[in-house]
Amino acid sequence: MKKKINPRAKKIVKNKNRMVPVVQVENLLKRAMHDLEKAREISDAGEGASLAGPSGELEAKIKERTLELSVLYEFSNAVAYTLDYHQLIKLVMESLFKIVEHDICVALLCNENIASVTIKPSYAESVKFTEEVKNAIIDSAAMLTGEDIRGKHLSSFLIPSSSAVQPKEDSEFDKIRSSFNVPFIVQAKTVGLINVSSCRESAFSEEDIKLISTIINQASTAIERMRAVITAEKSKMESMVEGMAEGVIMLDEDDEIVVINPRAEDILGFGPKEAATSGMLREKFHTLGLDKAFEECKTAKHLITKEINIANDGAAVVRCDITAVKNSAGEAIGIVAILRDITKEKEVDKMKSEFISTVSHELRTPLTTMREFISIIADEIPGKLSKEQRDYIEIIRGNIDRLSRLINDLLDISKIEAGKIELKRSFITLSNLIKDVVATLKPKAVAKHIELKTSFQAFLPRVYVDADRIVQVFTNLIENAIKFTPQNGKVIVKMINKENEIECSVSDTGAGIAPENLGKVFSRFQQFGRVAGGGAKGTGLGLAITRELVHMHKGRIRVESELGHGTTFIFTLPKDTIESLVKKLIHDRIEEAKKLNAKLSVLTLSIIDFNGVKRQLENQKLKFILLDIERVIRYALRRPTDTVLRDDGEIFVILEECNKDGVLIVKKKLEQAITDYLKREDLAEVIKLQINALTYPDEAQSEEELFVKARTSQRGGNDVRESIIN
Amino acid sequence: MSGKVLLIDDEPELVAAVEIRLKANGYDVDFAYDGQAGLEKIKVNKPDLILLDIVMPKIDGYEVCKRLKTDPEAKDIPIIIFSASQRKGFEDRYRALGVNNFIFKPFDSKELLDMIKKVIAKG
Repeated sequence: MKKKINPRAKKIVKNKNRMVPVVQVENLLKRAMHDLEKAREISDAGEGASLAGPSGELEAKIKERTLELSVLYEFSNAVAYTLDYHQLIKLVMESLFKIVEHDICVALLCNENIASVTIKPSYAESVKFTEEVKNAIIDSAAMLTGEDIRGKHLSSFLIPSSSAVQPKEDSEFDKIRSSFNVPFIVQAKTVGLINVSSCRESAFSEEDIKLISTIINQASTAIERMRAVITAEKSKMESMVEGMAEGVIMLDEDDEIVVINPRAEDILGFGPKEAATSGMLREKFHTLGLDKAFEECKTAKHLITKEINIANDGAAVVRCDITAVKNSAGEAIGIVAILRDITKEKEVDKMKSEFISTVSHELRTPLTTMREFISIIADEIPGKLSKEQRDYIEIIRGNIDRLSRLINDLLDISKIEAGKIELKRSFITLSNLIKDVVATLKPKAVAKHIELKTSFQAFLPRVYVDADRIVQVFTNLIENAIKFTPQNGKVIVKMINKENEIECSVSDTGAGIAPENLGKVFSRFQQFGRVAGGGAKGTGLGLAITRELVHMHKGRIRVESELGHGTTFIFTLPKDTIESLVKKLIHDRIEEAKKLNAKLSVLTLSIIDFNGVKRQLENQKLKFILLDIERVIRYALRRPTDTVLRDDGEIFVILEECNKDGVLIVKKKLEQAITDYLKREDLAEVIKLQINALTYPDEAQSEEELFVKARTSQRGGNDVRESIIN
Repeated sequence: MSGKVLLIDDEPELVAAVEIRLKANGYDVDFAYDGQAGLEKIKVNKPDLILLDIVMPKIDGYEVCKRLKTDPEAKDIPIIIFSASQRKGFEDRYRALGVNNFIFKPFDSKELLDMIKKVIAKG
């Protein structure tokens, strides 16, 4: 049965510059399948005709044609939305592999600066031709385009062959005998080349060449579309970025400068008249240390901020925020850097600091003189005083002190607002801190016959806070409670250990706060409900400052009160897991170490098979043993700057300004101390400890690394830094 | 308790007040209104203690400390830093020079007297 090849099929192959309309291909496929079905029906129906002969040949041809069309169809679908050159080339090569028999395929795509070569061997054995075809295609491309391909930044990619595929038996894999090139042409310009090669003689038929060309044409159209999209996006971005007040620099995955706006060039010191070349810019990046920052950001989790000093005409301080652009696989495919000239801001900041310290000094000085003279008179050094004079002098003195407190509070709050307060955090046991504050304020309470007591659990976790500031918070709240409670009242300080936070409260049996005033309690200069004779007048700023301090520690504060039933102030301090505390602490110490150019060491002691130990010993007993071990360690450490943190069966010791040698000495000491303890308590068989030591920056460069490595118990056998105690 | 105290502070009235206080407690008091004058006084008449203000024109308190601590004749004279600045951390650089006594303005006179007594006794 004669079958006409659909005349439309011919048309499609001829239109090399048009993308194959997907619908037409689909229809062709349907018809081809239909014809195939028909042919089968006929042969099935018998009539003696066999599958050999003309109908058999036809069927084979139809099958082949169907395959080719389906590959073309798949290809055009896949390539319709590709915006990635690598993906495109991969698709091209995969499609070619399915429909044209070849041994190795290589593609080259280039733009002004970069040439990228992709090689796909069809069989494992084909790999040996890689260099040959690579060089051949580069030379061909050079000839075809007239460009210096080798002078470009060249990158090569190898798509591995599928090991499941075996070469046909009759092929001799000794040398390439046939080779065919097809160019990628975009807007009349050759932008690349694809080559298929085979060891067979005359391996490629005209049909094959036509097929390859069809695919390449589609690919070229796709490249044209991709470039148009990229150019459109790029110019959109350029126009957005052109007028920005900040400098913007974008690099692509090959570290080529894709975008740099005039402001960035200006900031970097290249005036509007100078055209900064890529080379000049790179040098500038290097001089300013930006190239290192660009590298760093590729693997960083967050954006990196760097402040650099640029001396153009005058010194400028520039802030650079650098972040990597990542693809869905998390790989860096580009870098964006935003540059801001913050010289003015830095100056204003400096002025603010100076203002605050000048004002404080200027206000305190006359106050000091006044106070001392009043004090001298009060002590009757120049002469005796009448009762009246003494009383008046006391009033003056009281007011001078009030002024003094007001100045301190004002200074505090303006420092907090200017962001000039830095919390100096350390690990403290909250219960001890509170006990100290209570002891200091006890006399005031006693003077009013007020019962001042504390109520909290004995074992409370240590918190990482600014001790002085938390003392300030408790002092403010307890002093207020005492002030606002009449004689014979009660003030109770409570502390509750909740799951994620510690809740502290100060309650009194005072007059309470009216509901309409509750909202104003933390505002500035608000004072109400004062009990007569309650002691020195407050500044009205105490609670405002207290609230700021609590917030700075990421806690919350609130007040509960009922008129006539007393008042309770409740605030929380977040509790971190030991892990995040250790990391935070290590982070802070690393920052300090960086500033002082010092080293930091971390020791981790872990109880081997802690779960097993837990099973063996009774809960309560184990608890005490762990506390004992912690105590033994603290005792063995000399310096107050060394920190010990425990989380179940793991103990972290952080040693400031301690290098590798130092930490080994400490390690030995601790080993000895713990071994002695375990022997004394007869626990040597039950508890075995492992100690790891690590030093920054020698063995780890970040807190993450330090923390993770210090904990890893599987280290190399010949690692002398690891030891086991039992 | 007795001894020679040298006051270096650029506020004449404050100096007058402290002088009255110290004299009433049996101390010999000399004073200077700036660092330069202070250093000269030390050369002429070595004091048992120096009460030193920080913010002063010409040579400031820190500079005075530095010079004193590097002068073999003067480095053993105890110094109390007398300061209106309550900024935490500013003490560090003085401690680095070996100066460990600080009193903040406005001060409590009893506190000041106790500290002077203690520091002179230590020698």
